[in-house]
Amino acid sequence: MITLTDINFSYEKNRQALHNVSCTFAENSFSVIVGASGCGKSTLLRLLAGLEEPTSGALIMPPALSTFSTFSTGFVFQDPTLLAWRNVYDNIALPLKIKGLDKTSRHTRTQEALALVGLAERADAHPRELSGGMKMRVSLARALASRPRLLLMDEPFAALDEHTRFRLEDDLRNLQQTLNCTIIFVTHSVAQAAYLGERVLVMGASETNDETGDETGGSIKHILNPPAHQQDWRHNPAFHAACATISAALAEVEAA
Amino acid sequence: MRYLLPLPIGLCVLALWEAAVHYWQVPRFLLPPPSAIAVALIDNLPLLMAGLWTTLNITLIAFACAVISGVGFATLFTRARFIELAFAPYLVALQVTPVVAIAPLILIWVGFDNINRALIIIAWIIAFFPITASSIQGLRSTNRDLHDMMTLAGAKWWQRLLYLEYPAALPAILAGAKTSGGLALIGAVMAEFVAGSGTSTGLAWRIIEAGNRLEIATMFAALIVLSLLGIVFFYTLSFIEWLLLRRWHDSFQ
Repeated sequence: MITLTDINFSYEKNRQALHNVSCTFAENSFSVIVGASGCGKSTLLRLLAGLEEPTSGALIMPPALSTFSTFSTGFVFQDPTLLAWRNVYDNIALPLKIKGLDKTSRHTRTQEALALVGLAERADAHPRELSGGMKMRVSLARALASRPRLLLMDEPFAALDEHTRFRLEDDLRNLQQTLNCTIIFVTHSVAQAAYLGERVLVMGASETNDETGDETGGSIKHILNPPAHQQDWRHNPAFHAACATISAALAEVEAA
Repeated sequence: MRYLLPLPIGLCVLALWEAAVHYWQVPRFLLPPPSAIAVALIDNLPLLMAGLWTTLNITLIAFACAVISGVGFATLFTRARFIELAFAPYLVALQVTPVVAIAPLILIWVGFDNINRALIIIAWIIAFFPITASSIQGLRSTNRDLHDMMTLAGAKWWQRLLYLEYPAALPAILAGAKTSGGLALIGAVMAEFVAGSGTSTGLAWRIIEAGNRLEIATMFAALIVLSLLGIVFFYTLSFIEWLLLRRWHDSFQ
């Protein structure tokens, strides 16, 4: 269980990005954080990754993740962030090399990750030879190759076309079930949140005080639990109802 | 085919030149016909090749020094903001000062008995700035997400430099190297001009010597060898660039 208690975070004085964020993430759960642009959801993810330190509050990681940001955390960025000069295989193997794994285990894990995302055939390709969806798969494979216990994803499919996005969403759900890892997924898409999340955390945007100009950061306003998937889920009325519930929660947060 | 395309134009110009010199009876010491230049080129070939060898050596050594020191300096600059702030005005001062004006000073300090060393230093100073400026720009423009990715992988500073920053800066470094390569040759020639009489034996000296004797055809011949050296050097650097970038960089689609 990852526990956040009263987390505050400011990039600079008077400009708070997160305000009193408290929540928990159970092991092997799939949580989606949804909110408008600038509400601090990406910042929250950076805190969880260890890329930023909270200004105040407590962030407690379970012992299995105590070495986080070195081995057990995977991070997938909004852009594929691949190294253009390395082929697919070498892109995936690089973090393993940096972490000091020997060549044999690097090879095993890279092959394994390539197979998981269905790109074993394209190991020799350079990023520019791949489509947007394939690049994102490589980026995902790079995160998976470290065999993460926690996978953090920052709007990773936002730039993809709808058809590709749907396929990747299904793949990600299947992967999560086989991999046994905790996924925290940030998005601004209501439909994506409803489709992917076992749990959806709705964030409210930061507010600016008109007199002082001080910004109070975003915080978590609602936690929703969309229903489990059923047959033909994307076209199921229950799915649309779940979307409507999340939309209503977002609208309420923005109106407040 | 595309490499043969410039050929007819050159041949036409040469033919017109030859015809014009004969038609208007232009004196040889003003403008020799291409045929006389060809004869001078063959007659003076051993001397010109020796000059080529000297100039080539000076250019290549100065260029290598410029690349190593330029990339090294750029690496140092981009490690911390304060280093850059502290050094930047001096780098600009070095760039804007006409090196031809300090060349005599360098010649005096290094001494005319070490003439080649002095020539290398002058050519080096001239070639130093473009490669340094390009490398700084290249090293600085690395994507922030990629830096985060390296941080998450737990990269040490040298791993970040080796696996991310140098490869990302490579296109800029190579572009700077092409400019610096041309300038190293110009610097070598200019330094020889400044050094003047007899002490150096490069192509530039052959040009001065021939000029003094009004052997204009020999002057042209030396000039041709010099141009060829410049062209070969430039295309060699372009070829290296192509080899290193063709698989991944957008400029080689």
